[in-house]
Order: sequence, then structure tokens, then C-alpha cells
Amino acid sequence: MKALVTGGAGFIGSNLVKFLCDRGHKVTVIDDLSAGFLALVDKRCKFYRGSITNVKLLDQVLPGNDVVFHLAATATITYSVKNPKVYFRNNFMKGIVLLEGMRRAGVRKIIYSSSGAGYGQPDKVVVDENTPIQPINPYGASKVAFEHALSAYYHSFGIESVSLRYFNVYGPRDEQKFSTRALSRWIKSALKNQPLILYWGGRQIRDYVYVEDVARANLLAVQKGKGLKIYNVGAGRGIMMKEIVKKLGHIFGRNFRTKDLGERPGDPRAVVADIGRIGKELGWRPQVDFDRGLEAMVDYYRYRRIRI
Amino acid sequence: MKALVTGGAGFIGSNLVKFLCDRGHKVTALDDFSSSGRKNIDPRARLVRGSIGDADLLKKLVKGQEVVFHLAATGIIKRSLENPTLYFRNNFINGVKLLDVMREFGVRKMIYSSTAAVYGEPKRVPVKESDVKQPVNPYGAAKYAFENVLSSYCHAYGIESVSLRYFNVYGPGDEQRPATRAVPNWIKAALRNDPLILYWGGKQVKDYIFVGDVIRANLLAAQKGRGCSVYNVGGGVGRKMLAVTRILEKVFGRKLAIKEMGDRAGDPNILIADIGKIKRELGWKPRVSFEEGLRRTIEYYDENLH
Repeated sequence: MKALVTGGAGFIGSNLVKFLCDRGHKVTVIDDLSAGFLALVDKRCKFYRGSITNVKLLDQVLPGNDVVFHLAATATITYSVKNPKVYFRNNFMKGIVLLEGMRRAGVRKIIYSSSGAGYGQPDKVVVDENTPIQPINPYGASKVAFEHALSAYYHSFGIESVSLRYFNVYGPRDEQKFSTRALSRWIKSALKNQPLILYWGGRQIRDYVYVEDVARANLLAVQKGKGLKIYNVGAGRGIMMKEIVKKLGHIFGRNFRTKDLGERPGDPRAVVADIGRIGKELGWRPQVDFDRGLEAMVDYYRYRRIRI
Repeated sequence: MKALVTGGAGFIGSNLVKFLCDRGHKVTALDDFSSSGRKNIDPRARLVRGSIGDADLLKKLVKGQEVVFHLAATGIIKRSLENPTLYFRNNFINGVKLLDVMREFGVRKMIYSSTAAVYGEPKRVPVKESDVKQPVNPYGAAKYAFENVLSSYCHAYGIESVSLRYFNVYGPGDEQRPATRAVPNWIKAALRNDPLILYWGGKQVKDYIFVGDVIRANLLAAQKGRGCSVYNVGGGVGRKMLAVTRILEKVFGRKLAIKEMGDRAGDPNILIADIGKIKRELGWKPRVSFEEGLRRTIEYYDENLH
């Protein structure tokens, strides 16, 4: 298979690129390195530094690909509230430029990294794909809005797509210039003997899914996803944030100091994915259990040689 | 009430502007006259020629308003397949720009003209607001995408909004260029003694709603809508297109010639609104019967046909 991965130098993208290269697929990456890191990109792929709005670049790299994995996005939720327009431009309008490029190049399939953030603060804890879309921040709105564009492009132009709504993805290579995701922040703090920052006393319930399971969902989506599809991608079970702190304590063999910053507005209390649909239709279920995944993630930060 | 109406010279917009002025509201209408603009609107309103993509102009117009009725859109569905980017720009990202200006100046309420096209081919009719939405063209996708933006702006910034999903709106003042909607085209054809152009053997089922009822829904939404809500605005009655031609014959009092053009891609076969939610929550229901609405529409074209 020949595949183009946008955002291939990011956390999930770089893991996906490695996963695909390991299986002998021919991978091209476009990343503007606004949030990604060249050091994360597998050497076996072809790398282009650039934006997906660069039409010339798109017309050069798109033809001949069987599929596009579209991961490029501006991803920090809290910042999206400060500067919404950037998110709608980057996560929505730039995707349209990509889709138009695919139309010109005759690439007929896209696997889109969407987000569970589109559900907002759902009435029930376990959400399936038919749960009403009620995003509470511009990030969630921009991600889920692009799914509607994919619906139109399927019906109007025959471009097949699978939207994968990620819940909390964790694992190795979760690199950001300023970490915003709890697990990578906690592990970094633990390694530096700094206190772990909690919100809400760590009582929120989240659904954590390991990044390699996510990569596998992407590959299965290409192989088995037909037409126009939307799937939740999560572990299908919730874990309380303070429970994760405890588990990290076991791995490090010591207890951590924590600092509770209390309430944080816009944080749903509990969200867990219903993963029945992707299990039934793609045969996907998470394979890496949380304890093992967390250890692999800690090891990554302990021993990483990558210069970021 | 002080209100800005974007797309205020369009079909629904110009009717809304007059309706608001009649009730003593202070109205500013913005329109770029790109598609369906009328040459003149109610003289009591302040009409500004310009685009909602023009941030500097928006700042001047948005400041001090209590509510924005956002109707400006590129509306011809068929063309959205020829130039999707244009539709996403005008119907999505320009709306985001408008919201950001509202945020800057503390304008806290938007009444948004959405569309039944968000549903695509509904799995069941009548279709409810919470039913599956799978837009089948870029027009419907852009309009639905903007509803998601409104959801996030309500939670993140406290900008309240009501999205009104219009079904097939008809009535006086529809000067769409080029004219694509069946009812005005049929009325104009009948007035000229031309045959009525029919597709699919007239078997498609649509839900017609008179423009006067639609604008009343807009005002009610501004007065009663809270938080972030979404309503269908339709007649709640499905009519076969062939049956619509029969009713037209009745109103015209004569037999009308019909020309059948066969199938046409991109039209949903059947679309009927469930209007239970807007009845319950806003106390709105259609008041103008289909025959009466057609009569008024015919009167309009009879006077304005060039």
C-alpha cells in the first residue's frame, strides 16, 4: 500500500508511520513541523516539510497513493478557546484543501483522525457514535465539523472515508513543546521529582487508549472500512485520573507529591467510549492493557535519546 | 431590539427585515448582492453593501447590536459541487469571523439560518432534530459544520444561538439568481404560459413552509431561544411535487402544462420535518396554509415579473 500521512511527525502520526513502515507499506509524510518533530519520523518514509495548504506540494506527493491518513491538526484544547479562528482554519479549511487535492489526484480514500471532543459534556458516561454532537470548545467543533465535509465528499465525489474519534491517546513519542496532556506531564514531573499537577482532585474519569492500538485501528480502517464510516477509538473502559497517579507510583516505586489545582471549567467529569461498533465492523479491539502501555510510556521518557 | 441581519437583501432576509421594521425594531441589513439580492429593501432599515468576510466592516456593524440574524450564505446546492471551497469559505469560515467580531463587542445572541440539507437522505421521515445527519453535498456540510461552531461558542464564550433548519421555503420576494427553486419557477412559468418543468415524475416529497412563518420563527427564536438550540422549521407536511402542481392549478383556476425532465442527481427523495420541538419550546407553528401562501406568492410575481 502507498500512503500519505499528514501530521506524520506528531505523536500519533509518528507512531502510525513506524507501524506502517514495519509492515512494508510505502509511506510519504507531510508535516510543517509546527507541532511535530523531525526526530520522531521513521527514516524509512519519505518526508516533506510543508503545509497541506501548499497546493503545489500536494499535487506532487498525492498522485499514486492508495490512501491518505489525515492527522495534521492544531490540537491543544485550552489554546483553542483563546484563538478559535486558527483551529477552524487549520483543522477544517486546510482539510478541504487536502480533499480538493485528493480529488485532483484521484486518491479515493481518507482515514481521518477525529476526536471524541465532539461529544462535549455528554449526558451519559459511555458514549456511542450516535450520541449528539455538542462540542464545548472550538477544537472539538473544528474536528467533528470536518466529518461533515467527509460525508459530503463521499456522497458528492465518491471519496471514501473513515473518521476515527480518538479518546485519550497515550504512549511513547508524546512530544509537545509545552506538554498539555496529563500523562506525559506527570511522567516528566516524576522524572524531575516535581509534584504532579491534578485537577478536580483527580476524580475525572477518562478513557485511555494506547497509541499502537490507535495505529492498528488506522490500518484496519483502510483494509476493512468501506464507504463512509465513523468509529470511536478508545479502550472502552474508564479510569480515574488519581488511579493513574497510583499506577505511576508503582512503576516508579515511590509515592509522588501532588498538587491539586481544583476545578477546571470545560472539563467533562467522565467520558468513556462505547467501542462496540468498531469491534463489530472492523474487528478492532485494544490489545495493550493500561499497565503495560503505561510502563512502555515511562520507559520512553526514561531512555529517550531523541533531541527535541 | 437592535438587530443586524446578514443576507438582509436576500429572499428570506428581506422579508425578515420588513417584519422586524414593522414591529419597531432597529435593523441594519448587510448584503453583498452576490446571489439573491433584491435591489431594494424596507427603507426603514439601514442597508449596507458588503461581505461578512470583511472584518473591518463587521466591527462597525456588529457593535451595539442585541442580536445577529445570520442568513448570508451561498445557497445554490448544485453549485456547491462545482466549487466546494467557495461554500466552505462563505458558509463556514466567514461565519466564524462574524462570531469572533460578536465576541469582541459583547453581542451575545445569534439566530442562524440553517437548512434541512444537514440531514442528507434521512433514514426516516418526519425527521427529528436529533436524527442522524449525513450531508450529501458541500452546502449541507458547511451549514451543519457551522452549527457545531455555534455549540462551541455557546459553551466557551456564552454566545447563545438558535439554529433554524429550514425545509423548502417559498413566498414573495424570492429573487434568487439563477432561480433554482421549483415553486417560484413554476409560478413564473405559469404566468408566462410556459410549461412547468418537473423532475422525477413529480414523485419527490418535500415539505413547504411559507416565508412569513419562517421569519416569525426567527423573531420567536430571538425572544425565547435560550442556550444553544436547534429547531426544524417546516410545514410538517410532505407533499409530492406532482401534488404541488395540482394545487397550483387550483389556485390559478386553470390547467397548467407540464414538461417532465426525468431524474436529477443530488435531490433527496423525501424530506419532511418533525416540528414538534419548535412547537413545544418556542410555541411556533405554521399559520399560512399552502394555498394561501401560493396565492400571495403568485400575487408577488404577477406584480414583479419582468
